[in-house]
Amino acid sequence: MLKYKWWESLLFLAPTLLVILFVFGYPLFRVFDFSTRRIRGASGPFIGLDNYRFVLRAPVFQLAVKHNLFLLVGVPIMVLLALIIAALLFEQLRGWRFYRFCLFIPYIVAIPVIGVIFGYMLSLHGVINELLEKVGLGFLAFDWLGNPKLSLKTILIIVVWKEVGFGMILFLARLMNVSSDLYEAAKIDGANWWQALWYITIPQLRLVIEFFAVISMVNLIAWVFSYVYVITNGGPANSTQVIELWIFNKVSRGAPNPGMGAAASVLLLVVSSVFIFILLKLRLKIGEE
Amino acid sequence: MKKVIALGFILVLCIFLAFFVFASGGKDDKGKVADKGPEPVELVVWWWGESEAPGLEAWMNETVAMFEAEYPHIDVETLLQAVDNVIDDFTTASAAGSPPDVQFLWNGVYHQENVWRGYLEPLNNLLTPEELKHMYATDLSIYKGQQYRIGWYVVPFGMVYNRELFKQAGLSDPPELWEWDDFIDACEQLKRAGITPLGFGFKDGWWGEWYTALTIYQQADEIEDIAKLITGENKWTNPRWHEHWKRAYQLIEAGYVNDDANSLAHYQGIELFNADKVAMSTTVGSLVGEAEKSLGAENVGLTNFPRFGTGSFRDLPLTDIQGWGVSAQSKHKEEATEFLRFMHRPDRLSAQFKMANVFPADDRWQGEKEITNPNIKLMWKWFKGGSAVYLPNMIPWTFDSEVMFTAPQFFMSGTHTPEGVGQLAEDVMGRWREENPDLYESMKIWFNL
Repeated sequence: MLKYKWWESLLFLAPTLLVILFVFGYPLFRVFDFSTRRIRGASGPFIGLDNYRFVLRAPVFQLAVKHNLFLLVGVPIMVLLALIIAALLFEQLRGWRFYRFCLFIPYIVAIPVIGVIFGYMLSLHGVINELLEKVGLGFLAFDWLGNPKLSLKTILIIVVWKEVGFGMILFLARLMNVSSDLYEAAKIDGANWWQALWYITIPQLRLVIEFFAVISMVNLIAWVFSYVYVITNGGPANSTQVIELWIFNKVSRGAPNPGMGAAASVLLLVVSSVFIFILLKLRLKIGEE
Repeated sequence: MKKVIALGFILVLCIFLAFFVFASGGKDDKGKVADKGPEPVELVVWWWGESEAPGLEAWMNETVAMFEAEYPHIDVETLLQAVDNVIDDFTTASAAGSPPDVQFLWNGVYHQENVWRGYLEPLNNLLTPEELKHMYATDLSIYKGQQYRIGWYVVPFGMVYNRELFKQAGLSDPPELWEWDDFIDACEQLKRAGITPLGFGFKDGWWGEWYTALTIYQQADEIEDIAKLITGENKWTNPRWHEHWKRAYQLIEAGYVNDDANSLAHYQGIELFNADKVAMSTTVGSLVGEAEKSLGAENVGLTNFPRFGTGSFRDLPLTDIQGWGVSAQSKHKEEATEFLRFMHRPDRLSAQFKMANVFPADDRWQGEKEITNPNIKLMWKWFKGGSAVYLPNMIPWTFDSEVMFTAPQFFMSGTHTPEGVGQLAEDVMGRWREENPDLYESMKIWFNL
């Protein structure tokens, strides 16, 4: 058996490690560095942890954190919807491939396109409200995006509508690999559809569900920016303000305080890293199984 | 073996000799080109304005083509910026060491922050005092006695009204200076006639800035009053300085504003007027033509935004001036200056008005000879008679996004009172001063406080 010295493997890894360090490490270092400076142009004087203090006391940032946390409500909704749809499609009803295609389409449509279309459809005098009024449901015609009490919930519905297709495909792919013996045995034992879902489908999908839940959490904390930016731009009255948009507004659009934007980015990175750590652990577990 | 080494040595020597001969030959060629004329120059110009004054893009393309024909060695590369990028693209590019040579600049703090960072060249170094006087900007472009921006076009503000809808409500044409109470009476009469009086869009926030600009100066006796609101000597919590938000609240509360204002962007709100759905809207000179095209010129009337203030500026109309600057890092400052001069040539000034319906910011352009449209003529008269400065240009951007943009949204949603917005404004400015002590100091120098 060949014996390698410990540093030889490192030598082979070195080129890739260097590239990774350059591509990810350097920007990360710069963000940390920015977060401790009063940035003017490309750098600025060192001000310690002041930017973190400014971020944490900013009322709009606090509001954004609350909104991101509220959006997490979408995770169980997405998981549940994707699970039910996947289980139904797995029954291979007539035309199931067409349904699968239709349900997956929103996931591949670009977010700005969705944003613009929903922006028009959901305005007070938009298509949805006109339709509701025509079918005699005018009492349900609200200002979906213009009313601060509804706007964030509307955004959440749009995110769920778009992202649920991804979960459905993940679950369906896993279900296709589940042995049909399990379902046949359950049928013989007299299990109904719900019992099969509860005792076979969900346990078999457990790890994929966990994976999708973590991905959705990261989505709703760190990737929801594009929806909000295109659909409501954080308004009305800051009711759809989220952490990413707040950061964007600090580092861009007049660059009022890139140092504060960097400090908020570091905080967001820490939170997202926790989720990503959980995700990696899950992946390892899936690999082992 | 020795022979092989010697042969190799000779071969390498020949290659080096050949390289030097060709290289020096190349140099001779370059020298000959240089003798023929000036070195080729690529002049990079970043600009904005098409959305505010449709037609400017065509004017810019024509101007660049004519400039390149007159200066064959200069290749002008233009980039039309998105509204969200106007403020920070130049700053970011300057920080990265690759800014454009010529940059479109909004007035006031929007370009002053670049001045304080040393990214803009004082134009006193490039243009004569006479030229600077002709290509007027405003005093907000001056810092420590140096001017950093020349004017490009004038943006006169006003309010359009639909004569037909006014007639339907039994109203006659309002005066050029409309008192607030009379304006409210007219709104009430329109509402009773089943007509939505005002068409605004709050979603993107820009109406909130326009509104502040149209109203806050009415309370000011001098520009320093506004400067002191930024430095903290004047308080937004003082009723005098949030009176304008009380008036906005009144309009919204009484139901005079379109009910979907929170889900429409600023220009979509203006479109409601052009679509004959509302009786009035705020406007700028370049958009009056669009309204006349949609509703018929005879049907579109123009007035100033209603007056309620008690300050000495109260009766002045409002204008802003968009402009140009030259990057301090530009390697082609001479060519950039030539381009600025070219844009202000008499034929280009006339073309600017004809193609984009905007008044060129140059006192050599004689508007009275070229303007035929009565509404535009009225705006020209207002402008020439002296006008107030667009004061939000003095206020830091944070204040725009956190206060001016959101105030009408708050009122529409019923989440804040005008007094609450006054307190919010005070808090936002206080935090800004603490977070940006250097900018605060620069502001004080800029304001001469």
